[in-house]
Amino acid sequence: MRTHPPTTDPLDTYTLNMGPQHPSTHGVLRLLLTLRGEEIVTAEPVIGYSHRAHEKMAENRTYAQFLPNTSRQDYLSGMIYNFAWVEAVEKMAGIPVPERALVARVILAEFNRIASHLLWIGAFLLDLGAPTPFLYCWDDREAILFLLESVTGSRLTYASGRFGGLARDLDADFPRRAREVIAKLRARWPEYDRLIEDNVIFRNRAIGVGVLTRDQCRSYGVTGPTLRGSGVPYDVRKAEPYGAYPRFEFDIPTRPEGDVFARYWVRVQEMRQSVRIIEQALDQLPGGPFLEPGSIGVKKRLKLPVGTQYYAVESARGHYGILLVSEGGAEPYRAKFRTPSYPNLAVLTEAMPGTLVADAVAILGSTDLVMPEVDR
Amino acid sequence: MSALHALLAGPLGGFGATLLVGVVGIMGYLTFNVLFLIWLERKVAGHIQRRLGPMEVGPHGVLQTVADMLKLLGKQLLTPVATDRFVYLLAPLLVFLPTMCVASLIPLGRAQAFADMPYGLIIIVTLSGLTVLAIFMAGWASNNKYAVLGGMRSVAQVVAYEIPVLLAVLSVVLVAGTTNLHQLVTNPWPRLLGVPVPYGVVEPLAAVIFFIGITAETNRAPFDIPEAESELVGGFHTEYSGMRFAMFFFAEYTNMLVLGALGATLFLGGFRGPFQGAVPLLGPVYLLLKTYLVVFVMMWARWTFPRLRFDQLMSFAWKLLIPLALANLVATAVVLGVLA
Amino acid sequence: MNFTARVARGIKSLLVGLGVTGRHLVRPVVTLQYPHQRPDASHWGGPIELVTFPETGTHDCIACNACARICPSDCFAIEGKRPEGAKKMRATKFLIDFSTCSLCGLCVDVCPTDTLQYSRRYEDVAYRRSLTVNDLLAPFPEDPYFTGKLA
Repeated sequence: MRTHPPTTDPLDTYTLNMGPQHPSTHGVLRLLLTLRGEEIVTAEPVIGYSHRAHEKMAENRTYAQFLPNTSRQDYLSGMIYNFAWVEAVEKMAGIPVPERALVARVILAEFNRIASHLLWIGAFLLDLGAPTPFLYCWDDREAILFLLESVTGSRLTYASGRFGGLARDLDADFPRRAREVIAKLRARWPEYDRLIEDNVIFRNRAIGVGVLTRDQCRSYGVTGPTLRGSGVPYDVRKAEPYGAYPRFEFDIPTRPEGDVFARYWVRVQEMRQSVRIIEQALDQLPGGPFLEPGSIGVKKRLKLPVGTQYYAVESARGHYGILLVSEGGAEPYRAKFRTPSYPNLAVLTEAMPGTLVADAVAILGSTDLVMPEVDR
Repeated sequence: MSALHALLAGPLGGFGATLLVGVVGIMGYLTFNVLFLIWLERKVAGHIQRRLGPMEVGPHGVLQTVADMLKLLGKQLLTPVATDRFVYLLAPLLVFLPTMCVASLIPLGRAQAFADMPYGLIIIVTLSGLTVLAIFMAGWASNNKYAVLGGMRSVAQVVAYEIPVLLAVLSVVLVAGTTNLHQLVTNPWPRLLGVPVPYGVVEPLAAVIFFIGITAETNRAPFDIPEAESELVGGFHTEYSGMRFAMFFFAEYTNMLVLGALGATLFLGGFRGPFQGAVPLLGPVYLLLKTYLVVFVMMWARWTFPRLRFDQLMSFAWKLLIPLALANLVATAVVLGVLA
Repeated sequence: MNFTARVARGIKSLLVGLGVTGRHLVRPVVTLQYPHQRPDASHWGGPIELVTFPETGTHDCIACNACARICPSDCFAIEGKRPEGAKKMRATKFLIDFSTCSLCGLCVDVCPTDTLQYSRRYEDVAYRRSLTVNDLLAPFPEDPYFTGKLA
């Protein structure tokens, strides 16, 4: 099978609109599939269904007022996006950040990354038709969300970063609870391996499916686990270290195959690396203030110096960049967000032709898209 | 009551009495069974996923499916404009019939009217292949691309998996020497080391192939590609709602029970069990226990495995199961020939 | 790897998978039966409320509108009046439209008298949009500053 030459004969093919309401397009993506039987001839993503003009909103509110928007771009790893905005503004304004806040941000962000990856594993397996791992992952994720709730007061869309630190301090009991959560995660890993990674059906569905080459990834600007699954060890945390990351030891898991299984494997390994970072950070967590003393926090209107600045972090989905242009006012002149899901979605047009409808679902799931982040 | 009794004793005779009681009993039981199985499925799924499942309606939620059924009954029946109306309406009725007929052919105990047919097994295998016709009708008549895809997949799948099921059944028939299901159970069992054992023990490979085959025939995960909700939304029943949708559900769970009962009859000894000879009423109890064991394993597998892809499903059937089943059949024949 | 070994490994992986879910089947559940059991919301940051200070037995809102100014969603409607002879204003109206609130907590951070805090409420529901407007002064029917009990 899959040896037919590509065809555009309208009598030979038909069009299937997958989405925007479809169980496995993860929100409101619409895939315009041209099919011959069940084989995909072309796949065209149609986006824009959850466009909320975050960039325009940023131009109309102060830097502090934009804080709640940040975590709503990617609601699954909102903490990382929230801190990215805070750090971008801090860098441009030259606001010092106390050590404790820097390390605490790493801990919270990495926990959020694990939570995001856990949800992805569950949702991906759901796409492949296995509903049970979803619930196991959510059980683990729930422990993380509860931990993050105890620090930030929110479960999903955090606004806990403050210019010069954090909104709330990590309490004295936090390291103990964090280690408990880590122990719970650790205990589950071998189970996931046995239930998912070794499963012959899963391997058959994932190995060799939806291959993205390094060159394809490069030309589309793909980043994150999707890129690392194609064998490129690019991670902003290593490539352009920010925050407290340079002081922690961790590896960048990569796999050369570039298929669905490689992307799964990379994310699973990344969770282990995140735990490694968190454990080091918990050991090194310094005392002191969580918000720079005398810092304005959000109390006063912050005005940034005139200029342009780009700041990038590694979100759970890849390279997330913020371009800030300030004309000296209390609001940015322009804020541009480079969200990783957008190129990760664009590259699918290359990976999908020649596969089956069932593969399309698997490939789509494997790139870990968050549609509000694509549309912004 | 006495009038009914007179009617049964007089014009209808003994056969008529069994017929009436059998039909009413089986129909009633199948309805109850669906409600029970859906509840069981949700409970099994819940506990496998460390949840409780339905808990609110009735003790441990036993009445939840009744409530759901009432809700579905009360829903407006929507018929999409562009459907092939006659076929669309016929499909949910037709999907239920073959299963119903098969159910009446499963021997429940020593005395049962329909099960004692010389070619019972053949009829069952023939009838159980008809369900797919209704599924394809549903998919085709819905005039929905997802539904057509689901219907097509279903046909291909059932055609592929009927063959290994048939071959597995044939192996048992070779050993038993009869296609009469009643005799198949009551005939002396094959002896292994002097102990009489059910056919499943002497034909383990056939039992496994049969189990995989009926899982695929009932469209259950990991072979649920005709209604793969993450790919085809609802598959062949995408456009059905209310009670029409419930009929497909009904058929699926009844099919599970009936094919599970067939498996239990063929491989696990059917209604036979300890003291069954002395207390005939134990027969149906044993059969149901064995059936629900089979059904439970089907549920367990559903909540564990991902779904196969369509081409993998086909190559699994044609390249692995059918050759295996054929080899098993030939081996059985050779062994029987040598022994004879 | 030859065919038989691959099939054997595949079958083994399926049985192992069944083993994993089978073990979970008999383990205790991890969920809460929500209306009967309640989650621990002691850290939850719910809709904001006014702090009751033990020294005065009332809130300390001076109607400075700092929260209203920082609010990204314009949730607040605040009015204040100066009690006779007092230096500070007192709030006479404090409404927050919870339907637009995103619980970001900026108002809690900017409050100069620290009289705003997150509540622990997590199950507020309403059938009409007008009901989502919370009157934060409702728990304080009488203001001791206005009745002259406090100066």
